Amino acid sequence: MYNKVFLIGNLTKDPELRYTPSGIPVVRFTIAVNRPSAKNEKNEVDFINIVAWRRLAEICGEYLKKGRPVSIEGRLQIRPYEKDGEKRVFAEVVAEGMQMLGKKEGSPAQPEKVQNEEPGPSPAAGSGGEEIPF
Amino acid sequence: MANLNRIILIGNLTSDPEVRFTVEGVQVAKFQLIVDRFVQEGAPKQVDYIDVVAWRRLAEICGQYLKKGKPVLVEGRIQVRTFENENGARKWATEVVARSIKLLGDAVKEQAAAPKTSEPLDEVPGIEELPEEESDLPF
Repeated sequence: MYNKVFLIGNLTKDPELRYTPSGIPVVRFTIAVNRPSAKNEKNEVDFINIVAWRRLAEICGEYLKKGRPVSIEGRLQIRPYEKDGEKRVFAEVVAEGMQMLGKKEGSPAQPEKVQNEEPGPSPAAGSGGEEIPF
Repeated sequence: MANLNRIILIGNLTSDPEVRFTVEGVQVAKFQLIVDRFVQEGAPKQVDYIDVVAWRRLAEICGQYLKKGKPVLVEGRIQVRTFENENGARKWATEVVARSIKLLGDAVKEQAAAPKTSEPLDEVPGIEELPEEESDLPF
């Protein structure tokens, strides 16, 4: 079976880097992807949830920032869950590759090196292996 | 910045497609694909159930050719939309809006018993690049 997604969009906010209870880095963010629209038509947008794991999660957490254009390659995942006894699904794209696009406006000539300000692996509450901790 | 939104799926239909018309009379088909995830050998099987919609001529073709269990290739874009459920609560739905659909596999096998014809049955004719419809889904 085959499940491939290619997206280019802009981050709606800074990504959140977390760690699972077993210490695996995971990052989540949302990108805004414009729908193709005819002239004079209202620009419609899809807000698509992205999740990345491990090394890619750390890189995303370190370099991606709100508003930045980014290219994501991955697969569409539909996760069932229950809230208040009601069955729901959560759709997200599991990133397998990420590329930053464009130049940051008004940035100095040299690329901005962002230091990871996360305090490192934090003892996250909760249980269950690789459950996403947020 | 030009945006990109492209998805390619291969999966099997979980049921026959539901084909309807919007109030404006535009045909729309909806179905769900079960798509196996890639897992390591020996690991338990995992799947995603992915909703797909198709509009107009493509919807018509879906109604004609797609059946429960059939393997199909869908190419399109991811759409995230909000709607109100029967209780008035705001809900999110994520679905794939199909741009082209290709039947895979077993149409040929079904014909195997019959004398061979030169006509390939595994391809739906002429359904590339159909314009998308922006009106609300009737379901």
